[in-house]
Amino acid sequence: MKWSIEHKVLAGFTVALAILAAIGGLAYQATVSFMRASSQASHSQKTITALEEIFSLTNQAETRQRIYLISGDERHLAPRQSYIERIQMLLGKIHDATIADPGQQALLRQLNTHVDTRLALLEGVLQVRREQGFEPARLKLMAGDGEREMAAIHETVLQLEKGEAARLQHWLDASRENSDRMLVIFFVALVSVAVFFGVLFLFIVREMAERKQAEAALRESEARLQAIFDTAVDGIITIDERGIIERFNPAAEAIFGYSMAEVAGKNISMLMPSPYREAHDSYLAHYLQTGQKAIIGIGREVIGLRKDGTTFPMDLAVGETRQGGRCMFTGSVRDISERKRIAEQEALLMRELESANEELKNFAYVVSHDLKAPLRAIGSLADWLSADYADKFDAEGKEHMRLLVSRVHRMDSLIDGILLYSRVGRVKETAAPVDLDSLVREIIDLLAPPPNIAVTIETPLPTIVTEPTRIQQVFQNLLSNAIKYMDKPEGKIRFGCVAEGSEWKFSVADNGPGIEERHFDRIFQLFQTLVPRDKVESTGVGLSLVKKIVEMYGGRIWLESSMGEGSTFFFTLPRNIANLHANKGKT
Amino acid sequence: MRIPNQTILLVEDDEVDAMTVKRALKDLNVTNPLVVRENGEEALAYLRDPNNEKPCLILLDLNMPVMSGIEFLQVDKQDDALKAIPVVVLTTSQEQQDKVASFNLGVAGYMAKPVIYQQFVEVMRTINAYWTISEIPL
Repeated sequence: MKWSIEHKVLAGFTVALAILAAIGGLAYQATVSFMRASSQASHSQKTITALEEIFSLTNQAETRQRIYLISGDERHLAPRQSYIERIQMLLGKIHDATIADPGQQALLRQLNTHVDTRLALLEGVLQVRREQGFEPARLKLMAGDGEREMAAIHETVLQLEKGEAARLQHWLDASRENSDRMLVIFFVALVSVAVFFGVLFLFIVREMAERKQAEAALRESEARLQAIFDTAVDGIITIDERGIIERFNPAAEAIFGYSMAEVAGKNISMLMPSPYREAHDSYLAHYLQTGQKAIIGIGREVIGLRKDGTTFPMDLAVGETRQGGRCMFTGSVRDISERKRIAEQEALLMRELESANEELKNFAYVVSHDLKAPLRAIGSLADWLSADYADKFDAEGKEHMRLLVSRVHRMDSLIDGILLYSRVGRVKETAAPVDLDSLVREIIDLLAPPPNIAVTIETPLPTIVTEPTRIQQVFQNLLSNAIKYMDKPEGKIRFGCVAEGSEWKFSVADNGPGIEERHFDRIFQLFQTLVPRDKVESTGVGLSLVKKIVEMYGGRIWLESSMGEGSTFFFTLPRNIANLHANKGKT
Repeated sequence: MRIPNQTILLVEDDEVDAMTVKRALKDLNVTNPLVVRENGEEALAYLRDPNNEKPCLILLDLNMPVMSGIEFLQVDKQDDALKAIPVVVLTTSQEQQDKVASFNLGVAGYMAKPVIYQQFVEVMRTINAYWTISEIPL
C-alpha cells in the first residue's frame, strides 16, 4: 500500500515522539537512580559522622570519668547519662542505615558490644571510686581493660567507617557511571531526533515543493482548459446526472442566446423543443439505470431551441465523465443551420444541374432524331420532283434541285454528328482490353489512305482497358483528318506513344498544311471547320468528339504545328484507365 | 416477296415516309399490296381482325404516337397467332437500346431509314430480295 504524505508525516512524528518518550523514561529512570544514589551517599555520610560522634562521645565519657577519678567531683558525672543516651540513639540510627548490609550489621553488633562493655567497665571503675576511694579505682583503671576496649571500639569504628566509605564510593561510582551513560544516551537520542526531524523537514519541504508544483501545473492546465472552454467555436455545456446545467461556454451563449447566469442550475431540457424536452429527463434516468446509450459517446443531429423560441438543427456530441461517484456529461454543440442550408442549396443545385444535363442529353438526341424525319421527307420529295418532272426543269432548276439534295445530305451529316457527339458519355460501353497496335492497323485498313500517303506506327502502342468504340473514334478521327487535309505529294502520317509518369502520351504527326496557332482552340469546338464545307465536306464534329472522349477519360489533347510543314496532335490517357471507368458513370 | 400478292403491313405515322416506302416498292416492281397503319394499336387491330388476310411481312417504325414500335412488338410477340409473322424494323433511330430491345423481341431485321431516296430504294431492294429467298412459316 502506498502511504499518503499525511500518513508519512504522522508516522514520522510518532517515531520522533516515541524517541522523546524513551528519552523521558530514561531520564526519569536516571534521576530516580541518581536520587537513590545520593540518598544512599548521604546515609553513608551520616553513618560515618555518627560513628565518629560515638567514638568521640565514648572518649569524652572516659575523659570525664578520669577527671572524676582524680577530683571526685560528682558534677563531672552529670553529662555522662546524656552521652550514653546519645550513643544509644546514634547506634540505633546506624543500625537503621545499614540494615541492608549484613557485614556492617555484624560490625555494628560488635561495636555495640564493645561500647556496652566499655561503659560497663567505666561504671565498674566509678563504683570502685565511690565506694573504696581513689587508689583502688586507679588500680582498677590501670588494670588495662578499659584501654583494650577503647582500642577495640576504635578498631570497629574504623572498620565500619571503611565499610561505609566503600559503600559511599560504590554509590558515587554507580551514580557517575549512570549519569555518564545517561549523557551518552541523551546525546545519541537528541542527535537521532534532530537527524530524524531534519530528514522529516526535508521530506516535507520536498513534498511541499512538489505539491506547489503540482498545484501550479493544475492551475495552469485549468487555465488552459478554461481558455479552450471559453474560446471554443463549438458550444460546450456540462450537466450533472440530473440534467442540471453546470457550465455553459461563450459559444453556447451565442448559439442559444442565453447567458451563463440565465441557465446555470436549470435543466438542460430548456434548450430543447417539444417533444424532446419532455423525453429528456426520462431518457437520462433510463440511461443511468440501464446504461443504454442513445446519444452519449455517439453524437447525432438534433434540434435545439434558442431563447427567442426559434429552433435550429445542431450537431450534438455527448461525452460522459465519472468523478468519484458522480457522473458528468459534456455536450459539444454546433449550429449547423448554415451548413444544412448550404447543403440543401447544393443538393437543389445538383438536382437542377442533373436534370438540366439530362434534358440537354435528351434534347440533343430528340432534336436530331425528330429533325431527321422531315429532312428525309424533303430529300425524298426533292428526289421525286427531279425524277418525275425532269422534262419540266431547265438547267438552272436541275442545279437547284442538286444543291437542295446536297444540303439535305449535309444536314443529315450534321445531325449524325450531333448524335455521335451526344452519345459520348451518355451511352456506356463495356470496357475491354484493347490492343491499340492492331486497332490502329485496322483503322488504317478501314480508311484506306491513298497511295501517296504513308502511315506508320513508329513506337509499339500499348494495350489499354477502355471502351473499344470510343478509342477507335479518337484514332479514326485524327487519322481521317490527317488524310483528308493532306496537301503534299508524299504524305507521311506517324503514330507514336510514350509512357510519361502515370500517363500514356500518344501522338499523330502529319506533314500536311499545318494549322495557325490562333485556330488551336477553335478546331476543337463543335461544328467549327477551317475550310469551307463546299470544298472539303466536313461536319466539324470530329475533333470536338476526340476532345470530349479524351477528357472524359481524364486525359488532355493539344497540338503543335508549323504552317506548311505539318501538325502533330498529342493526347494523354491515364495508364490505369480502368479505375476511371468505375467513376465515369457518375460524371 | 416470295408470295407476290400477299399483303405487306407498314406501321408508320409519317405520311412522306409511307409514300417513300410505297414509291420504292413500286420502283422495285413489288406487286404485293401495302397496308399502312399509323401506330401500333391500329396495326394490332388490323392484324386481329379476322376479315383481314395475315401479312407476309411487317415493316415497323419505332417512334410513333399512341403505341410505339417497341410496345407493339411486346404485344405482337406474345400473341401466338401473330408472333410468327416476320417483323423488320424500319426506323430513324440508331440507338443501341432500341436495337437491343428490338432483337430481344424477335425482329427479323433492323434497317435505318436513309435520308437520300436512292439509298432508301437500296434498303427496300435488299429487304425484297431477302424475303424473296427466305422461307416464311405461313
